[in-house]
Amino acid sequence: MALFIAGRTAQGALVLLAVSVVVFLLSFLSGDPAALMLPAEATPAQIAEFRQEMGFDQPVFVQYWDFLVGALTLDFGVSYFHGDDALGMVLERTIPTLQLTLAAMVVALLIAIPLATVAALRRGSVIDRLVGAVAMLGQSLPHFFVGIVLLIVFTVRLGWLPAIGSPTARGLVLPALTLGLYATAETMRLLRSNLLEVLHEDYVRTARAKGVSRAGVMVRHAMRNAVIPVITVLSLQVGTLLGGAVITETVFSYPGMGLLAVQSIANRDFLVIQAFVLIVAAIVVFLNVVLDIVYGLVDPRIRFEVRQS
Amino acid sequence: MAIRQQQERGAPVLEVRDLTVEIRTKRGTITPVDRLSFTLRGGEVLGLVGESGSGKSVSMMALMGLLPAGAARVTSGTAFLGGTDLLSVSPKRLNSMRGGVVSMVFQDPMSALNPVMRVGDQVMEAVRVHHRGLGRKGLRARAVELLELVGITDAGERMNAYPHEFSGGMRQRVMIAMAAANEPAVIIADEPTTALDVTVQAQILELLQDMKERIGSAIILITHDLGVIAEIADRVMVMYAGGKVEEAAVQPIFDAPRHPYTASLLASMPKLSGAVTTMRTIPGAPPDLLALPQGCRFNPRCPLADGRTECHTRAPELVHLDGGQQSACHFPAEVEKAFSRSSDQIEEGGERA
Ligand SMILES: Nc1ncnc2c1ncn2[C@@H]1O[C@H](COP(=O)(O)OP(=O)(O)OP(=O)(O)O)[C@@H](O)[C@H]1O
Ligand code: SF4
Ligand SMILES: [Mg+2]
Repeated sequence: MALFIAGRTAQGALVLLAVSVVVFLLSFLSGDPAALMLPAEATPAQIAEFRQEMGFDQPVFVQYWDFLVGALTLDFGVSYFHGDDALGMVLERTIPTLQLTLAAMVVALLIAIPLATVAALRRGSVIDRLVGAVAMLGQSLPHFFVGIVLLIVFTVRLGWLPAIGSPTARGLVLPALTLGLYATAETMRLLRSNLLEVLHEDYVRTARAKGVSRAGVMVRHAMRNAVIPVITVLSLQVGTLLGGAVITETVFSYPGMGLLAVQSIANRDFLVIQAFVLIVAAIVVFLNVVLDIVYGLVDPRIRFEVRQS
Repeated sequence: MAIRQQQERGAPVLEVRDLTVEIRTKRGTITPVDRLSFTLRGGEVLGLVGESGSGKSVSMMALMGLLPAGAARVTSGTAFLGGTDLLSVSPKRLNSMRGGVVSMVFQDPMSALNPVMRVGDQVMEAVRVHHRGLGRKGLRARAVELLELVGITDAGERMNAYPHEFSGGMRQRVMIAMAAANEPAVIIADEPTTALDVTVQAQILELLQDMKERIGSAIILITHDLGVIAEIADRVMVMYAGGKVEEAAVQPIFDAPRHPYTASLLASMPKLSGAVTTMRTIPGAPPDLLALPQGCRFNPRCPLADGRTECHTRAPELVHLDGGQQSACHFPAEVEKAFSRSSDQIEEGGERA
């Protein structure tokens, strides 16, 4: 198991390195930062001086090296726009975003697991069809639309919840619902079909033959087996979820790093954006390793294979 | 050690009458089990044989209430076990009977155990469902005891293993441990050795017999292996196209079958005693359940049917012959003569098929 974790961590580090190259090249290719950052009336001499000061006159790989060393020593430079440490700005906003993402995930699981179970148990019933419809809607509606509809209903019409999101219980409800809807739909659809499939397995028949009730079979036998592929899909979705967080935070002016990123893009504050992208990548990689470990815990066959190799 | 003392030997424990199952398929509704009746007696091993598709598994699944929901249903019949009709009890009561008074061992031990649940937990579950009061310690002790009974060494340690860490033979031992956990009156074993290595087949059969002696269960043993029947069954029931065509004690049926189908099965069995005696195919194909022949279902393949109108117009009822033998053939007395004459021919046919 330790070997497995070490291997996955090394893999993750490689992914991050690759991301750093991409991030650097993208910001390198997005235009001359000196021209963007200096006022329009700057003289060529001023521009040249600025370029030299910032190191923009160096060859690409030297610039990349500086960037990488900076990233490794957690120095992403200073925001042009705010004058604050870029990394510090992003990190400060990371926790609220993680809170939002976690809340969305919890919402998704709390809604999806029971509904998928009922739908699978009562296949073809009204509930089953309702679940199917909700799953389809949830997967086809974009976040900004869901967010706006929720805002209109619960804030403008009913006045129950604040319009501005915040990492508090009340402030999280609407953003978490907005962000969680897609994951809810995906989990529900997948879990329902997995459960139906698993219910035909021989070991379910064995359990029934032992005298285990339908509910017992569902909870002790079907669920655990059906959840395994869901974990895989969820781990693939961490990135999507964080991407959705950017939109959701913008809709609700939620003080997370997504909102910061959108603002920084508008301000061409590209050191902040670099820090943002690398942090998001690090989070995705980290969560993937964690989910892989969870996967191994749920499915002993994986653990066994790892131990063997 | 047996909690329930030996069932009175010879007294009926399970009485099945007119069991009929229908299954809706894409091509139409079939009746894979058609008015099947039989009686299982205390402590006996009843062999159940017949070609693939003759309805052996479906009839047993019907008794266990394990038919695939939706498509399949029992359309008539009763199956009394200890005064309760398995086919009409409430689902709740059925749950308390399954694994309690009647249990089942399936064909493929590789898929019959839950891959993500520890072996010990699965055995404990079999006990717990029927002994709600038992604490975790008691459950565990009982599970270890059961695993030891079925010949798993280091049972205490192996409790924590997962099924994939066991060989096929060991998994089938676990299945037998679970089936025997509550000392049921009836154990149904559906081809319990078919999926196993030849070398472990004999061990598993021996274990089944051993458990039966220990807890006094009666066993219904489905098999394709007539050699196994000869060795461990007390009586045999032969199914063809959803119905019982012959039933008798083992010796009489091997000596003098009273149904041409049984005779064909025996004829297609290699004569070398002691060698592997797996059933070989007999000439012709089993009938399509959607297009059953008129009259006797076996007539297209029956060497006796030629020129006999009864065979083509009237379905034979099961008749009781002397010695408790039953046969669903219009001409049970002619089987012996016909097959001693044509058995060489049939064996050739069998080789070609
Ligand atoms: N779930 C199902 N859906 C449709 N048809 C089925 C289903 N289960 C069984 N049948 C059909 O019912 C008939 C009897 O099948 P059954 O499994 O009882 O045969 P069997 O005697 O056990 O054969 P085998 O020796 O191959 O196990 C076959 O024609 C089979 O195709
Ligand atoms: S009734 Fe006729 S066709 Fe059927 S088994 Fe007997 S002899 Fe053969
Ligand atoms: Mg079968």
